Amino acid sequence: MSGVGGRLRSIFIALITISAFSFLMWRLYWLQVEKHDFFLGKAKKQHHISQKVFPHRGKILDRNGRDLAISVPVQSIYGVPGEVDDIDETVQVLSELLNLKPQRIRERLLRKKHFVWIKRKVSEAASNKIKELKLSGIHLLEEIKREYPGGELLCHLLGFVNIDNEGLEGLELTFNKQLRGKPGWRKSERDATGREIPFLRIEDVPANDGSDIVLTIDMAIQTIAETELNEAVISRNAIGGSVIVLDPGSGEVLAMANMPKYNTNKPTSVPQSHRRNRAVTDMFEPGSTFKPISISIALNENIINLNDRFYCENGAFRYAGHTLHDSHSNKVLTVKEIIEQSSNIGAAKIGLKMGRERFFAGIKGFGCGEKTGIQLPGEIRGVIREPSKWSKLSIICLPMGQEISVTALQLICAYGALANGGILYKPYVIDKIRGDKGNVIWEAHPQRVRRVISENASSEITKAMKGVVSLHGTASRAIITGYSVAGKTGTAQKVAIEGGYSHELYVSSFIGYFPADNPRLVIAVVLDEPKPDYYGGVVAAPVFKSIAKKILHYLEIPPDIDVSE
Amino acid sequence: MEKTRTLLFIITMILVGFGLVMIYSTSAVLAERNYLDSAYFLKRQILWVIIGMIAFFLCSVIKLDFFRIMARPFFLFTVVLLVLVLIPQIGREVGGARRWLRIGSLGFQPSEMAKYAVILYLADRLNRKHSQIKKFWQGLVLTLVTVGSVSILVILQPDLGNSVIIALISVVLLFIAGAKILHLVPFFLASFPVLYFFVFRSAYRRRRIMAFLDPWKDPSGTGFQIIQSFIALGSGGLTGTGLGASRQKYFYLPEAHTDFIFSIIGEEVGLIGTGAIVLLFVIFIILGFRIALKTPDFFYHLLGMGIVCLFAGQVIINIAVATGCLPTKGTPLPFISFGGSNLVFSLSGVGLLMNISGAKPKKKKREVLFKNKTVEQTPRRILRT
Repeated sequence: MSGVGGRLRSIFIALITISAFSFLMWRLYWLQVEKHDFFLGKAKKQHHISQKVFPHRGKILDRNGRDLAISVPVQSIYGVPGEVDDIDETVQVLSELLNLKPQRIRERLLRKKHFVWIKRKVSEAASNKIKELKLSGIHLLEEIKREYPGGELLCHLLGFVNIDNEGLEGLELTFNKQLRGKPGWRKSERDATGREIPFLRIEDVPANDGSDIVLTIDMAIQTIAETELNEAVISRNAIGGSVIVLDPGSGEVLAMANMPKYNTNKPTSVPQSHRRNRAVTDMFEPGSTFKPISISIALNENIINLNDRFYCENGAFRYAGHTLHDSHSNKVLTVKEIIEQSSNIGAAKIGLKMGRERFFAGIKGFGCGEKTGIQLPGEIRGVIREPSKWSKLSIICLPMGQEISVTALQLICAYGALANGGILYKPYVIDKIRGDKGNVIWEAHPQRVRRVISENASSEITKAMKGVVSLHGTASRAIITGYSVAGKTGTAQKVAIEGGYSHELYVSSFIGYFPADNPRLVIAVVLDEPKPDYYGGVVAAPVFKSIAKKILHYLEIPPDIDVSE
Repeated sequence: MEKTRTLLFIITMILVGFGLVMIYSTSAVLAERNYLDSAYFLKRQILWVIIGMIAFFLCSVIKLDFFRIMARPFFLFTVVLLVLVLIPQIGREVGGARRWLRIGSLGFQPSEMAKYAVILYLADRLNRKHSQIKKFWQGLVLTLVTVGSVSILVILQPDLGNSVIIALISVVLLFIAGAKILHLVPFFLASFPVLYFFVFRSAYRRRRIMAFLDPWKDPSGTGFQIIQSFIALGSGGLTGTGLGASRQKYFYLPEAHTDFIFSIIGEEVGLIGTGAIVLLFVIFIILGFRIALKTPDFFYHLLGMGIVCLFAGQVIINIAVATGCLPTKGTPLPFISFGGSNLVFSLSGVGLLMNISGAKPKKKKREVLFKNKTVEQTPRRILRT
């Protein structure tokens, strides 16, 4: 009985077993077929990764191929909070190596995330050390860092980028699109620790590296300009200054220096005022450096001749209830002498002879009140009022560079026209843009804006300005032995905060070009608030001279005056 | 009977062979990372297969009476090992559990042996004391106390999975041996507070239960393993991602080559693969039941049923855990999961089944067993119906 019973019970057990298997089969069907789409979605979500592949940001080079801004690979440190074993030790080690506050690291490593930055773009020494330590949950990621080998050199033009390599200032900002390139992406699968499984890569679109930008800037000339400007600003107690070197025949900018400056590798270490490219963002009343422009307009219109004589009122000219003074009292001066002596009264009388409409049209023609269109951020237009808004005094103030504000760049471009036979060129700093394979994508060509004065007027005004840079002119300190130099000094009172002109604060300037009759370069020197000496001929002209001499040597420009004569 | 034996052997070999393939597939990534040798686990398992085949051969040819004689000494020996493994200087602790004894470079789990020791012991005891089984104290309680002590030794490691299996097999064998169902009920009821105590005493088991009840509540914590198992099985679909093409084995699914190998099989070869595995096991178990039911000897019958139920229990628990029908607990899938002790004893179990299937009826025993039957009715015919 028990035996048969035993076997029946065994069969009962067998049946239970088989039904359990049937249940499991149903469960498998439910999981694998019914819920297939649901779990496949879950699987894809956790396996698939889509990574951005960062392009190499293009380089910025000077006209001779010198690297000005480059991209170098660096290591960034990130953490995977879930993988960290010993948080106390990890925090301590990292805070020491990376010079970070321990609480900051701890807070990040306690976040409920799979990825937290610890520190980006760390030094090579630190990243190597961390790589060696192999801390659990702490990983390295290669990123691209922007570096400026020149440090402070050309800082205002180059600008800088943020941590994600997006341009924030200067050319980095203007040409961000070209420099940045196009990011690629990689679709792939990853293991549970987040690492890519290389042979399961689905899609791999490489990044298009950014284009290289070749500047018209010549770093040799730029270095000369910056060194001399730096020295002058310090020795003359100025609060700032700019130097521009321009090719008058094309509008190419060969150098553009500003003070104060900053190190582009550490842009945030200085106040924002240091980062302004003053040559294009700041305007000033040019004062006497504007006189050759005013007079060239009258010469162009044949209103005057270089030898025409003007009565200069013995140094005090009463007009519309105000008295205008010259620094030296003169009875009669020729137009040439008015420029050489920088006579305010003479310039005023020429202005009166021209009349406001013709004069206004003339200075508009030189580009005053208009952006030059140079591809640098922050350029301003300057200020020039419509003749209808002029006061009675305006017609005598404007010719000598008051009641008008210009940028250093506007001024040097106008001088370029005076120098080159009367044609205003659009200034530019980009020579060409090269693709990632070195192919030229875009190339600059000199752009004529318009003819502003006749060739004759140009040579006449040059003749007059040569007199400025002579022993009897205001800029005898700009004389360079063996070379003919045309130029003009400027000493402009700054507008005081309380209104009217200040008697202590000046903008001193000198703009000149050489060789005078076949000019290769125009150089503008502007010093802001030099103390105690402030005359352009004393403060700015020597700076011009030392820059010019070095450039002449560097460019091997032959002398055009036979010194032995 | 010869056909049954052949089929049983073939199915076993298919399962072991497929297991080797899947062990390589699931462990290669891990092995490459940890040992710089993608075949690290495969090589070890092949070694265990060789040892297992020797054990299989021995168990299939040694006279069954030898096992009957050895039942009690073997049981005692196992108890000694189970005590030894609990001693900190001897037992190797892995992941908070002291389950392994070291033999050279290979680990050995006495709890795997304990399952067979208990089956053998019970088969012998219930066969010898067959008349007492219906008595509550002498039959049932005494037997249960003996095997219960083994179960408690196993639970102390702690290895709740195997101790539950030991308890289950014991009850099944007592039931088959003819224990009164009414007598079993108190034990059944008593097991609940015991289980409750052991589950909720340890925090990690409690978490596992919670994760089982609602894995999505904490998908990156306690529910992680079961959800990863679901994702593996579910994303495999009907046909799977292809052999070797599992994604979940890239450290998503913990224990991919051991307790959760079935989930990766589901991912790589789909429902077709998992269905085939289940079908093979079902055939295997039916063949096992046939052998156990056809054997003329009650000891063989109990031994066979015990072994078959052990296989069935392990397979069901393993698959039920992988499919989220039972809370997570470490039970290997026989023949397929990586692990030496389980494979060697499983192959020994198959050997014993084959041995039982070849057993000749013993006149004397059969008379004792079927003494109430009329002489006209041959016992064999009754068995064949």
